Amino acid sequence: MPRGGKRPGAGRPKKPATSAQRAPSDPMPQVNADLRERVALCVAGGMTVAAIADALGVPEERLRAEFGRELEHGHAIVRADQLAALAAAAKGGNTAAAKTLIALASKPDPEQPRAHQQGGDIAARALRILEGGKK
Amino acid sequence: MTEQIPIVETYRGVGLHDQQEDERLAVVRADIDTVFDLAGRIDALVDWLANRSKSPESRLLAKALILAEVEVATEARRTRPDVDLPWLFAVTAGLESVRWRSRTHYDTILMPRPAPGNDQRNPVRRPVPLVD
Repeated sequence: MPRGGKRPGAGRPKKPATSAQRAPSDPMPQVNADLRERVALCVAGGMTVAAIADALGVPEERLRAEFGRELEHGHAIVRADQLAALAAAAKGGNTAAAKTLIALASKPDPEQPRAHQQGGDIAARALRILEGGKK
Repeated sequence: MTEQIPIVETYRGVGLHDQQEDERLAVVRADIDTVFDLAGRIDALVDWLANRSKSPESRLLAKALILAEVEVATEARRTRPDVDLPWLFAVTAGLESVRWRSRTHYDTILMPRPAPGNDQRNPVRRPVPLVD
């Protein structure tokens, strides 16, 4: 019987270093709204899929399979959540939030073609670029 | 430095390349109209300029419209269109050059040869190959 008790860390299962090293059968954290929100947040924060998989302890393939929407639209999801929070704060009397919302609302819709607003400008620039030939 | 393809006519400010039949020039004009209609829609413009079946003049116009959008966004300190500019230049390289234009298709020889088959995005074959 060795003296001095157990070695620190003895008996603890060894953690795989990366998502690629994990077996596909590894248990997956429960997929719920919190986890989805966290994945979207990671995407919005600029993390790669591999980094998110490592951070959440989820195999990369499963992450792609289960959180396709979050991985693709993470920025938009987080932005929509933040806008909702901003609106709630503004309704609650937060002046800074109200001002921010007004500023955001006065911006042009990015989905709308700007050609009608700046059509002449854009077309004229394009023709100038075209004449330059090199740009 | 490469020599620019001679312009035989200017349509809506865009030069039409020489050595094309009247029927083909009509197609090019229609393409240019379409591209002007796409102004501001970056994804559609990118798709157009990557489509080798479209006329080189209209593809160059699509590139210029995207670059104009980038310029305007930069000056206005707005988010610039999400376009890979080196790719943009690579895809349209040689389209305005006498040296690099294809003798057999309305395209450039800098791009890979058209895939066999009837791919709708393949460049259009010239009725008569160009002679130097």
